Amino acid sequence: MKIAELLALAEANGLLAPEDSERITGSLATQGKTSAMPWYLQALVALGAWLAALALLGFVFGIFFRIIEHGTGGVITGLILITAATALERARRGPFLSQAALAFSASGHLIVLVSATQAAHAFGACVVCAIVLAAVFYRLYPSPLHRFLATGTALALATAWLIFSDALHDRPFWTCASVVAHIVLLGLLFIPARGRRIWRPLAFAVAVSLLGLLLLIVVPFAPLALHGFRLPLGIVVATALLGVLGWAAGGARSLEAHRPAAVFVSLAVFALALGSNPAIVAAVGVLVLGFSLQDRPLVWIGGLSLPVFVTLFYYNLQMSLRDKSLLLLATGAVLVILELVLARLFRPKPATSLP
Amino acid sequence: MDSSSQHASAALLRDLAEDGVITPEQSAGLQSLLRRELAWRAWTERLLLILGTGLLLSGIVFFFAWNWHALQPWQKFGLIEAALVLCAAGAAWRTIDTLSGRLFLTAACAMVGVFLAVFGQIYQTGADSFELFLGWAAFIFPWVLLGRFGALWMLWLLLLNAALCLSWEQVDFWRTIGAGNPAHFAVVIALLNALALTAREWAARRYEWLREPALRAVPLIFVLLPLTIANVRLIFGSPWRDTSAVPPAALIAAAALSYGVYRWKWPDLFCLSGVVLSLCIVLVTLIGRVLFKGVHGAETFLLQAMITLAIFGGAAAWLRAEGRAIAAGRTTA
Repeated sequence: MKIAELLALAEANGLLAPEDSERITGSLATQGKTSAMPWYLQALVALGAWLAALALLGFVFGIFFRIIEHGTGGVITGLILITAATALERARRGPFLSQAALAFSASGHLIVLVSATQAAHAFGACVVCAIVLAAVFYRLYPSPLHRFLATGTALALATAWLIFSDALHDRPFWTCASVVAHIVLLGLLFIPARGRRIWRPLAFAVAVSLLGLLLLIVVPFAPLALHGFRLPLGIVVATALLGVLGWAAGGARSLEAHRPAAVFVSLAVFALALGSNPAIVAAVGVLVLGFSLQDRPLVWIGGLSLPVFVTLFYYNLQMSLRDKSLLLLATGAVLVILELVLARLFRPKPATSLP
Repeated sequence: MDSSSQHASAALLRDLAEDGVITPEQSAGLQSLLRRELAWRAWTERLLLILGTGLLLSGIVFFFAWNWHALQPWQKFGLIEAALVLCAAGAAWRTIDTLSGRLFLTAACAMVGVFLAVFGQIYQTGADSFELFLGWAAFIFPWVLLGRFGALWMLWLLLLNAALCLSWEQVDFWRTIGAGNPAHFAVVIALLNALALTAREWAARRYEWLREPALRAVPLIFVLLPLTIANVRLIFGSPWRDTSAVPPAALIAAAALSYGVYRWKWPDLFCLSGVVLSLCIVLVTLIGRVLFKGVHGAETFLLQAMITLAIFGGAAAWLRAEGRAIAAGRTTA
């Protein structure tokens, strides 16, 4: 939906006065003149930054090899690089310096993380450093891409620690706890109507991290075998999806008004969660959340992960090819029939005229 | 872009409240209204249809894989033809004006390829594999013409590219015309896609469904990708004395032509960005090769980093200026 259509609807519903609409349009026009780069230009800038970061890493390793070799020296070198990058980014001198700052910061992060692991002889130190860096520089470094990458790295390393750490005894339990924590965080970051833009990169990082964690479960990845936790996890993810659907539908009052449809959808979601895989349900959840917020990146994240999870689910089913083909055909037929029924039930009725 | 034609999203409405343009209550009300007015039914139907069709097609593939060797040739052909006829009938029933009709038609086109592959497998015709793709593209061409569906045209273009790529190893013709060198052959592939792009630009003036931006972007990427790969390969792979001037000349010509068309005739920043990205990659690779050829010290890495930043930073700044000029409708940057 275009903003003009929404504003017209809001005026018709008495939500906005005409002068409010004018103020919004004026503000958007001003923003448009000084707007951020389109995504493909951002991708070009990011590619340049990462290529430069690689070369810069070669330089830093070449010059400070002996210092970096002794963990603590590496951490200090990395921190100096990140601080310099932050100062450069805060100066806001255009895309060139912004790109340079990103390259410096990425190099600095890598040096700190590698050096910390070397110094402490433990992967846990790397995870702690990544989390601390992400937390400290989140506000200081005013770039959404940097915020997304820093928090995404911290979350990815935390997940890696969850999988490989010998210190963790009850891994299935903590995996489920991590999924629940991801879902709660996603809800807190995306759902409130007063959500602030500074937290948006973190929200995207959490969404990607959740799907990444579930991908490892659906593969299935041996260290993450869930044993008896698959059913509770399915129920948790299905409940979260129902929560998103209920919120998108307009809350409890709206659900009460459409009780039969709400019951049918609830049953379908639980059947999907128990019959398939929590990852598929989570991908549908991200897709629904993205669509209801009209958030294109979130729709892309959900839309790309859904076919991957569906493919992996069927690929990993322990059954003969014949049974697998019949199951696929049956599921596909159910979905197509459901679409046809929906199309027939809700087709707009042609206007009838009196004779 | 006109501000009123901007895409409405919760993020935009939240930002407006954060910037003090509207009150938080107004923002919440607008977000709620946006959610209520979304085309949920059409979106759900589309999701169900795409997933359902995908699963059905996968089910067919698994079914064939299950007992393929046990089936008689007539059974194999019968099954494939039945699926083909069903898909074509589905397309006719739903009509090609609907998404489901177009998906049925796409599935029918895919079944033609399956039929040709099985035909070649059973009768061992000895035909080269490029002929399969060429035949496939030729047989489905009338449906592609009728379908008026961008994805189907992209499939067709992909088939032509696959046929062309496979023919390089299997047909002597390319050596006789001097395209035996992979770098030269990349130029041939780029030319084929340039032809498709030209046809699209010409036809888009008459047919509205062809004006979809992806139908311009995909052929352009298919033009730039082989040229970029050929140039990078030339820089890394060939001894300097054996370099050919054809791929660099073709890339420069493609860039100049694209700039002329997508800056002045039909302004399109995405296409300009693709061209610039291609040039940046080739330039950075070339400079890196020259720098690292003689010296391997740490300072060479620093120089490479600075040059990479300068090239990509300069390109981004220039593209932003072009974007602003395009948005303002001016003819000069």
